[in-house]
Amino acid sequence: MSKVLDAKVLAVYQVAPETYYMELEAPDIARLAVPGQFVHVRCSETQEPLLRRPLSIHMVSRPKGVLALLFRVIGKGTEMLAQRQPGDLVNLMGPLGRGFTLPLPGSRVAVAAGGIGAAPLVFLVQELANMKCQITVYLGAKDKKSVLCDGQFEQMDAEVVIATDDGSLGWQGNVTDFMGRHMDWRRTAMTYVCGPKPMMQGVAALLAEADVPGEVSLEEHMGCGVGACLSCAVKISHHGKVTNKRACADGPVFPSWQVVWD
Amino acid sequence: MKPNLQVHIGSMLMANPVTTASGTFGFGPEYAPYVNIDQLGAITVKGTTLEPREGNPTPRLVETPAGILNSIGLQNPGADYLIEHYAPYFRELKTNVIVNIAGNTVEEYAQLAAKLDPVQGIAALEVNISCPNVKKGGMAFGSDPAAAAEVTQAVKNATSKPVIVKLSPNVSDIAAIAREVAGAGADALSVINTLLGMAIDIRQKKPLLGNIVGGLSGPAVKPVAIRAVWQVYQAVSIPIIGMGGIMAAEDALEFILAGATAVAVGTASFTNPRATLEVLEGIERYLMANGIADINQLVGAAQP
Repeated sequence: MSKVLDAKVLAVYQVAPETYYMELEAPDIARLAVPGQFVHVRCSETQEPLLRRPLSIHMVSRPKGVLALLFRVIGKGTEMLAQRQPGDLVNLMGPLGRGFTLPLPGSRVAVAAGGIGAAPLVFLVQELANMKCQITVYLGAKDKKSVLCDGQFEQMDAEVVIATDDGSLGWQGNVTDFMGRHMDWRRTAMTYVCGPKPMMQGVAALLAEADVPGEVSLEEHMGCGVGACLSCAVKISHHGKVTNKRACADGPVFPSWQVVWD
Repeated sequence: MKPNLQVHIGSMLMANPVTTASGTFGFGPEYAPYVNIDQLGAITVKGTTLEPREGNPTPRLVETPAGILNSIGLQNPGADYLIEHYAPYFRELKTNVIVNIAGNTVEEYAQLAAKLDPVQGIAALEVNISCPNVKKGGMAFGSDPAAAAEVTQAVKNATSKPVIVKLSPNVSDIAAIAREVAGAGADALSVINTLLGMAIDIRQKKPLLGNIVGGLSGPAVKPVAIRAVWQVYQAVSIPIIGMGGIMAAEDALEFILAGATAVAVGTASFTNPRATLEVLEGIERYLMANGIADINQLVGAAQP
């Protein structure tokens, strides 16, 4: 069950432009978390900003009781969070949401990450590697400086394919185009996607065309984080019927073929 | 000695004056990991309509200074689903469950009230005549004294449960509406619903909410809400549930001193999922520290 607690900051540093890594002591959350879930973080001590920020769980170390976040500074809340120092307390709710569905052990899987979307996929690849899966990570970024987590994925014995918009590292272009040209879908048991909406929509279209399963991790403006306020509605099609689901509680991870993209 | 915290909202006895604001607490189970719900005086659950509703387009939520704008648009699974899936849970709770009801027409309000009347586990109905996020019904009823009275009377005639009418602050004279609604038989009033507001994205040059306008809540609205409770208390003698920007016990006490018998914690639950219980604990501490034996002594104590 989800908890609300004050977690001690163990480390915080910048890893890429506007991107920060933060380690927190949160054994109760680390123990329960599964890949794809998030924590709802109180970034401010005051009423400004008022709402928490949902941040995906980047990694956990269950033996050490440590939870790691990787986040982009995009506004006041994340800016305040990035300024926390080791020893400070950060109030967290979590783990929250429905995570990724794991494949059979030893499966061949594809993981597609766009920008900061790499954050939750490191935790996923951690688990997939433990399950002896054969993993290929398709990692997209704006440029060389913004490529995230490539070293971590490689350390976990995943094959890493990098695509940058400006071609400063790896293939020039976006991940979707690369996958469209080079993927052998018949040999891929499962594809996991997290990134900007156009990228997820693009990969979801490839998956639909190849008629193979995948999962995407969606983002929408969130309020409560627990399924109460219905702010983070996403359109999901199930047996031909489209309904609003809650990204926070019914997701953030959804089957790629069920998402209705606007 | 422990002070008395019991209050009456019509015939409904609350063990303490703290409930939740409709729409901020789901149907209860959402917050069960963080709060022992039975410790609250009541929970007020998500606005319910006869038929299921899908609500408004996203984005449905925008942060503003010390507040939030929402335009959920009464998304809810409908009355049948509530009766089938949530009423059994409500019956297991020791606390009171207040169901917020909404409709497009007076008849719909009455039908819904009649449908919920025999349902055990529902302690009271809160009539939403103040939702700013729906085209029909909602605020249209709450801003016209005659229409507000008509809805109130129709719901009263359809149910034996206590009827609480939730008032809109988006009116020129809230006391006049309160008098009409009280005259039509309401057992209590919820004061206030959200304030109609709007925000614009200056980069995209477009409104930030999918529905363009939404309801403002959070600390930013508290002074407006306190004023409304103050005026309504002077206008009617039925109990008031005060709400609007309560983040801590000190805020709740302001509402009680202005004239609220009970208080609802709303947006604060998003910031702190334990806010409801922390407000309750703070009220109790205040009573003890000030040697006040009964919370009811404090209701409207700031009034002349």
